[in-house]
Amino acid sequence: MKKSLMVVCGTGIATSTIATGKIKSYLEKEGLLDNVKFLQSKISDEVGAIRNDDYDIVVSTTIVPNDIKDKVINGVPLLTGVGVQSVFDRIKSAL
Amino acid sequence: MLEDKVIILDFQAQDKEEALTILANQLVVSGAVKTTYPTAILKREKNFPTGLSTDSVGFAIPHTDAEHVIRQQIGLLRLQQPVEFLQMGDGQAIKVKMIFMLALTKPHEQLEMLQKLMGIFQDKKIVSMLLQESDPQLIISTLNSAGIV
Repeated sequence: MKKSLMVVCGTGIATSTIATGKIKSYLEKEGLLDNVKFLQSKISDEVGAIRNDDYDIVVSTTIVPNDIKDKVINGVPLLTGVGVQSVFDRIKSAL
Repeated sequence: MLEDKVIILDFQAQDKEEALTILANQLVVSGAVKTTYPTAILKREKNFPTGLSTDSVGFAIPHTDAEHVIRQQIGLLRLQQPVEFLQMGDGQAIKVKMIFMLALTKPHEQLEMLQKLMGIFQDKKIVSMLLQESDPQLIISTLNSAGIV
């Protein structure tokens, strides 16, 4: 079964789009693209769902509430390029 | 994305609110965004900061919901002295020198442009040009040739 990968940012428009694009090209390169169902949203709509473990993997480019911090991968390196491989590694190991 | 030529160079701002307001108001004047845009930008920056620190310099990419935007445009403001922004993702304080304010209507269709913008932030040669150039037209043509069109 496909794993669900939710990418969230503040408004669900700009940075989550960039982050999703980066993750897609990485997974394509690894031949894993078909294993993943991509979702994109804004954090304010998703806090409850993340708390409930509704998604297999969550990547965020914005600040998330403390109590769900451990469930979320910080996706900012996908934007800045600094430390990007560790983000990819975390996603891959969760698949 | 840069047709309106909203480029403000070496602006002296007390803080990020002042810098964001000046730049957002210029986008209102150019007709790219609605009058609700500046307030929406400030609110969004407070709740979801957009500072990005790269290896060389701090950037910010403030943006807000498409409902405040009339047509896609980017406004650029270079600060005389860096001001403090909070970093996207972890909320840490960083010093920002350049602000790229995004007015986006359909970001999903702008993926390539947004990725190129991130690429520019990581390109030391372009960054150093952006930090020093005093001719707005040359800044625009550099960004154009780097794929921001």
